[in-house]
Amino acid sequence: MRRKFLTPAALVVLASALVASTPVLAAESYKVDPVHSTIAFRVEHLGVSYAWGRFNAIDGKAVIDEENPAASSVTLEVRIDSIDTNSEKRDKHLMSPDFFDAKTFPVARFTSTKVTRKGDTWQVTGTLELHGVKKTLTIPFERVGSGKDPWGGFRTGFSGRTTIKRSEFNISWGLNGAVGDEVELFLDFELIRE
Amino acid sequence: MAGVLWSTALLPALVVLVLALVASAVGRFSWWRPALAGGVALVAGFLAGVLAVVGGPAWPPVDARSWLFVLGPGALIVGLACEYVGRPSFDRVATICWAALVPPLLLAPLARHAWGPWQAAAMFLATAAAIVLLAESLARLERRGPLEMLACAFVFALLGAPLLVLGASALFGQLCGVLAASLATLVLLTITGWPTRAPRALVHPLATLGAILVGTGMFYAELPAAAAALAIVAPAAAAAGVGIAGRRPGRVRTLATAVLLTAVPLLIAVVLAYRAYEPPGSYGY
Repeated sequence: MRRKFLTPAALVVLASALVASTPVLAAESYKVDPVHSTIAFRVEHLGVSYAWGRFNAIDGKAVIDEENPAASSVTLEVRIDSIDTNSEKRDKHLMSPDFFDAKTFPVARFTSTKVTRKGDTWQVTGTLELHGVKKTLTIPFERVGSGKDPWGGFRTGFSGRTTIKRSEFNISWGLNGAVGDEVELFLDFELIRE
Repeated sequence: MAGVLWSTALLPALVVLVLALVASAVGRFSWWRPALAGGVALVAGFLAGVLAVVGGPAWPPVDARSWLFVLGPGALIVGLACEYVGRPSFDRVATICWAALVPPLLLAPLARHAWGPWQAAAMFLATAAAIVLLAESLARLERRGPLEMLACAFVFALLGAPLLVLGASALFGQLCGVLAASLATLVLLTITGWPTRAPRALVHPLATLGAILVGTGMFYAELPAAAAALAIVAPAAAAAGVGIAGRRPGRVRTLATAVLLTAVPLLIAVVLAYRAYEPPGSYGY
């Protein structure tokens, strides 16, 4: 008996499977996984050490186009009242008009305007809106890794670091030596494909 | 430290001194009233200090420190208008209209992000009432004499500074210090015979700036509401006390009554704020 090696139906199934397993080249949408993402910062204290802090409420979305990075984009929102410096009293002071003025400016936003890529390094240029001031900055991000998660989803991660001057965002109190002007930002994001 | 001393105390005092003396000299001309010089000098000196402490304002103004640059001169214009018109009915209407205008501007971020419409309306009303109360109290003191009003306002600003620092806003405490330095110059000038016969134009700027500073401490930082309320009623206590003390009790006694009755509620407010203030521990600036 002659056996058909591949029926047309089997070919369709096989083709579909191949398409599914091939890396998707088009732009893909991701959302920030807030519990596996970190926005931390450190700033000089009295010129002798660094004080560390983080923002715990992060929200954001990204569109990643591996083949055409220019078509990629990022939007991030950070709730200022989620600041955590391991001192409740200091957190309250940081939220006061002396620093972030969290009741007047409750959210900080970053919106990308340009994305470029060289290997695993992604240069994300965008507008940071903080304390009512908008500034353009470029943040280099390294791709940490990508892959399937145990729940059937797909994740990818980026790690970036940049430095801003708080005085440029009109956060100038305590610049006379108590708290440094330069603030280093440490940005680690785990993104879940939507 | 020298920079802080310069921006908080010396610069505003110097600006007030120069402007007050120049304005007095110009005041010899008929179109100018020397009485107005106090208001102009105070607002200019205060804003020069604010500028040195926090830098230029954002435009359009969005936060309390930016509003100082708009509402300070705005209050001065209202004060100058009241001085020129010189009618109590105009004064009353202008004060109420001005007091109704300030809170929606100053508290807009909270109304937008944190409060419902009823809470916002209640807070606007309370803040407007605070401005009217401060203006009315200072006006009553001013009717007893410029020095009574200026000394009371100086004590208000002087004790307001530590009050705001304890209320988790060192910046606005520093700005209260700027106001105290500006007022100190006017107090000294008045004691030495500077021709401020009727500094009515000072009432609205002082009431507005006082309400903004205390209100910012309460609404945007951690100043307890009871402490803020005591600060606002302090000049009213002084005005009432001076009235009760008698019609002609003697200059020194009137002045001492005004200063003491302003200081007592503010000192209680400082104690309340201190008790609400968590002791420093590992957090040290």
